[in-house]
Amino acid sequence: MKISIVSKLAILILLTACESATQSTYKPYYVVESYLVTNRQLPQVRLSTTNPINNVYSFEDVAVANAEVQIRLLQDDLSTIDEVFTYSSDSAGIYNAILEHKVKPARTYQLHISLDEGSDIITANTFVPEFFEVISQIPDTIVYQSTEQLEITLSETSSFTDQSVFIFNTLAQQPISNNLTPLYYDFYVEEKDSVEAEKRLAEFSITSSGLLNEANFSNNTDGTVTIRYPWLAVAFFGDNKLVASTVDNNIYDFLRSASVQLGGSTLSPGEIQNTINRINGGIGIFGSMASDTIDVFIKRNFEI
Amino acid sequence: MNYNLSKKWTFTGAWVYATGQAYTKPTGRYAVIDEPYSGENENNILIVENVNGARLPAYHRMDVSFSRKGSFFKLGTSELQIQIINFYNRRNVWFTQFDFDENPVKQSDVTLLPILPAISYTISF
Repeated sequence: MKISIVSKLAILILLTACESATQSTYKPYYVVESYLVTNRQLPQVRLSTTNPINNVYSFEDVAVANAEVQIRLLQDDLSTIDEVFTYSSDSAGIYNAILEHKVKPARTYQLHISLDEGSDIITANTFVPEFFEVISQIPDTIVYQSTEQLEITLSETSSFTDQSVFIFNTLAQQPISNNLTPLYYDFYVEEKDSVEAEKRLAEFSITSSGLLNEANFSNNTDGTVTIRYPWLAVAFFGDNKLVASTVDNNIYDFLRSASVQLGGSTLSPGEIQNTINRINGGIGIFGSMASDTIDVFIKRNFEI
Repeated sequence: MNYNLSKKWTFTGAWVYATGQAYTKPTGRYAVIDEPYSGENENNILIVENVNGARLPAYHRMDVSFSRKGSFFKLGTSELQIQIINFYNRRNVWFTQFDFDENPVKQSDVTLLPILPAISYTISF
């Protein structure tokens, strides 16, 4: 039987196309989580592993015990260690500093974790933002959605990212359903399950602006920054704490990449991206931030 | 494949096979718990190994049809066609989706059309 050259080529192409592709398989990673805040005590460090996507996730189940955890204060050359702060663990996966130490601004801290007698090492560096404060006069009471929107001016702060980045959080002091602002009340009442509704109420007690870049605020000539506080960030009437924070590169990269993943309950295939992790030997977040807090009373507006 | 069963009746069959579409499959997860800038207790973070590192099941289906040629009251010609698309009711996967609010993550496939019979009658003058 004669086979033409065209048929031979067709068979060859078919066989080439049938080469099996490598399928993605789960690989475990160490996960760290810790946030340093300027002028506050050293934070706790969480250490765990990832979990296969089809397994039930619980931190307690994947917590990593018996690790040697240190946070090191580095000199400006980033290779000389100034001080070492050793951590201990009372519960699996959660490590706390043995000695007290206030996080110093404009310094580099290094996380160093040794596992299995040094066979696995996890390291990460963070450069702590300088302290800043709210310098504008903030009224004690503000009427919700009045024409005079709350404006906050922040003192000059160093920028570690390519642009200044802030996060604003509103911490409600009386987070009860009767105090919910109209938009959040609608979200609350649409939840039929009472347990889920209470969970939602707890979530609303801390609202976040997400990352605010230069499109969201004004840079003043004296180096200060003025931000018009969005009403959308206010979930409860009554006493609220407004926390302004500036973050380091690690948190900035982690948050902006995680927000892509956390945008909804379902994602289309091909849209899933890994978070940006600045951790050697693992994944997660070891970042730092500086923040200042103001107190304000949000009064009901009976005209809306 | 076309086969003339008689002068009036024709059988047509087609079978299509294609390798499954590539997609990016999350393989692992963890949660960030202590976020100082969020009110949520746990924020799920996903891990993917390779972009387009997974494949949907292979796509294949068979369509069959029988057609009968005839005349329409001597005014013109007609053709009656009975067609069955996806003859063996293969539930080909269009895409797969993940509900990350569930613990464990719930994966579900969105499938294309099931078996689909169709009848047509064409008159030509």
